[in-house]
Amino acid sequence: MVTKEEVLHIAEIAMLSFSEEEVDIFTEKFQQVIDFVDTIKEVNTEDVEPTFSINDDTQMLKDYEGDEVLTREEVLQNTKDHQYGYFKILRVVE
Amino acid sequence: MAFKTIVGLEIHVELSTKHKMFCNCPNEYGAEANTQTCPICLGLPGALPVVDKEAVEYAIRAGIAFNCEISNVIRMDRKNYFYPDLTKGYQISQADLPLCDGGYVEIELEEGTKKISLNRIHIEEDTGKQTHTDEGLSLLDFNRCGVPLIEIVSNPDMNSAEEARLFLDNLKDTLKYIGVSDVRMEEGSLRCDVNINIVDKERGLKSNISEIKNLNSFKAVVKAIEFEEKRHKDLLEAGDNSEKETRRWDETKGETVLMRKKFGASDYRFAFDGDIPPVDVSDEWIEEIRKSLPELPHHKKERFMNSYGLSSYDAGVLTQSKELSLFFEEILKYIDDPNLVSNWIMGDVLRRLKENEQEIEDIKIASKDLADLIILVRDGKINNNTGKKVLREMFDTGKTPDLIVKEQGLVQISDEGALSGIIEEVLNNNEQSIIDFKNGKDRAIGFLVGQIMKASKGKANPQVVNKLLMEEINKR
Repeated sequence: MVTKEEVLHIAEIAMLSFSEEEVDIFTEKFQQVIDFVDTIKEVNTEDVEPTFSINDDTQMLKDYEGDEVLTREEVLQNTKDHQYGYFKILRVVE
Repeated sequence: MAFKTIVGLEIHVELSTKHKMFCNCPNEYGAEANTQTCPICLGLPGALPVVDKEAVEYAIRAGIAFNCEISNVIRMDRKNYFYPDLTKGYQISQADLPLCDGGYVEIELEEGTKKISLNRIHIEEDTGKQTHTDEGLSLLDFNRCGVPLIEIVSNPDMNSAEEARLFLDNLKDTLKYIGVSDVRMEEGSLRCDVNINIVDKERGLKSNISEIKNLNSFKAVVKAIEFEEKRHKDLLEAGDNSEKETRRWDETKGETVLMRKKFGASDYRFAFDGDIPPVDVSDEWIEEIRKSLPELPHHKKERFMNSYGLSSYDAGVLTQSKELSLFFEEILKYIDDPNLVSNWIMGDVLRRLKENEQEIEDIKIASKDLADLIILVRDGKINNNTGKKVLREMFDTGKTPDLIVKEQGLVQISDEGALSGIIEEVLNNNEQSIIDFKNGKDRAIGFLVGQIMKASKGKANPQVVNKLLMEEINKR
């Protein structure tokens, strides 16, 4: 069973805050999702290799000579708040 | 009570590759803020990361140097957490399958060699850098975001602060030797976290593990371990226990302080990064990298002891940096006397470097010039003190010893005829000292030799002076 505490914990690591009411709703919905996913356990996966991606292609490594960078103006154009070339945000203390 | 300290370390090392881990931004320290970023390392929608070849090669070099098993496939995972230094909301790292598995580092203790086993070395990306202002704001620079890192995770095999220090020293020297990082703690290219707890063997108790972050020097690591040892011990003795928690080293207070409660591993919701398909690592490539590695410091140290007859300490110092060991061996090409050369380097050369706050890389002196100087002194062309003076001048000007000796007229006077004139004069002026000496005051000789050296402007050959002086005094 999904508990309220678990939902609150997940909300915390996702940095979301919920009202009492929302917590109840999410607890129920989480349970529904987990019940749904549990049906997969009915499938027999013996002798089946794990699937990590939709195809088994492998990728090359990159090995370029030149640099590819954006200018600072380009980098900062999508932010409202910047100062001295830095993104400016409200302080987050860990 | 018998307490045992248990320490494991996690070390993050920035690799000194040309480019970042997943994009072609230059990997350089100290550039202006946000001038070395691109859609990939900024995590802009649609940008796709590709793993850097050089970064993998460097990580494999480290893996080989630390005796790890190298994996034949690279898989990257997402480590999810929200923090402003990561724009994507996750860090690309490795969870289940690190590039390098196992391995060990050997440290030298008084009771012999101890193997500190490694859990793994994995590759990941560095995060951006935050600067906090007094006005309650944070300024973000993403130049560091995406810089290739290896995380070296040791097993909890260390049992004291000293063992941790030796482990770190070895690790740092080796990483520098194999050329994968400049390992500058002050620039953050080597960062270390400590995991520590203690066991009370008699009572069968153990304290909960503390993880200590923000350690920005090896000294801080040592001090933090010593602080935590005592804190855990005091708690156990009081019938209490430490919390499993993350703490931060506060350098000014000289103590560790509690950070926010740590997430459990499952809270990072590690998942395979679907943007990065697996990459094959062939045995041929691994073998090629293995062959390209230079002689490692501990192998070189053994060789220096065996072939040159150096003491363990001297060999250790001389092989600590690749440049110093090369300098030493270069000099040996011109003068076949390892102990003599070792003495010069271990003594005056390293002392001068320290005084000048220089590294061996900064030295202006060519190996042949230092060899020439040592030969001048050995053959008695100049005396030992003059040799030190010449060395000083070589440090400052980079001139050859021959030129300095010639310019300043420093050639040692060994000619008995020239010296007896000076000796006679000094004795004539210091009759009292002769009487003192004859009355058993040996110190008077030292004074007379000093006067003679002074009169010869330091150039007199001390052995010849001593011999002639005794002869002359006995005549009087």
